[in-house]
Amino acid sequence: MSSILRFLLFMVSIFTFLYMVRKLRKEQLQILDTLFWFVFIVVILLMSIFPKGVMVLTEIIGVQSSVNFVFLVIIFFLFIRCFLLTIRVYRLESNFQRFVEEYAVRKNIEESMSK
Amino acid sequence: MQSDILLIIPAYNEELNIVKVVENIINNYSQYDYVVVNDGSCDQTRDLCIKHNFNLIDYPVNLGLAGAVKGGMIYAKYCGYKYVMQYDGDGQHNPDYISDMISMAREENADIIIGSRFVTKKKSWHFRMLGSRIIGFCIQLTTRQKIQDPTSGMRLYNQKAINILSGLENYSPEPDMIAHFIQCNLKVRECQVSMMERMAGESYLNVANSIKYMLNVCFSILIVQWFRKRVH
Repeated sequence: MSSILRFLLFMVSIFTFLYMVRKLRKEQLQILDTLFWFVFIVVILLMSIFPKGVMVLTEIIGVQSSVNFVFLVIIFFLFIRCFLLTIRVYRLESNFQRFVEEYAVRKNIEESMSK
Repeated sequence: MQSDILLIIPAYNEELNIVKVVENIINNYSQYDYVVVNDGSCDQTRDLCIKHNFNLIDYPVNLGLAGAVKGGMIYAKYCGYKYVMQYDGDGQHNPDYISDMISMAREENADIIIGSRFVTKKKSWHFRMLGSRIIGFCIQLTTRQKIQDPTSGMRLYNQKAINILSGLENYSPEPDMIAHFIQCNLKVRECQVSMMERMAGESYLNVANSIKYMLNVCFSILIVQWFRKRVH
């Protein structure tokens, strides 16, 4: 891994962390999501600080270069994030649907009772 | 509205307990107002409350304990209650201690009173109390205040706390909120109470949920709450 890449990874983690803190202060981020992004930032930070560790892992797994390993890790995180979001969206859609159905039916019953 | 004090009774699938719990309040503790918040139960909870003419806020969808309590808080704010108490719908809380908590709130001008099982009694070293100890330690680490029973759901909030809790999105009635409130210089005190065992039905905390819960709460107390904007 080149020093420039390490430096970039380091800066990106720091800035993402600061941005996350800002969003948190403005109450715009859920606490549970923060855990995920926090772990992500720590992993990127560790990779930028310990390139030897990354090289060891790269050899064990059989990836050709450390850079590719870094990409793999990031893609993996995004993959998990995407999957978790899918679950969350599905739950939101079901809840919304259920809410609409219940609300409409109850409104009908209330109105017919008040007539 | 007949009283300054509102009991918020969040209920999710509590058909086995809810009638006993609410009738106990109506018959024996009529000095307190109450509201049942049905959190989208899929059992007979809603029907029972309607049949017995209970004061009911009825959610068509399940939002979780945080959402249910928040609804009660919004109701309290609109009606202008001076004190609000979170009272569990499973019959574990003992209404005898409510007056103690209110006197303590008035005397010490506290914003939040936690009905704690361990002010004068010692906590057992049972495995179930391990979580409580860990959370208490996290709170002490970040706020220097010792909370003996941080997971107690029996809490009394004054109007200042009601306004904060009903207004903002991320607040929930969990131990990490206690840590945050202490850091905002709100007065949090504990009052000795005793609680009864759950009457019927099952609690939602099994092993997997407990570990997830502990992880979230400890992470929230130790890291997130440092950065939150301090609300005064």
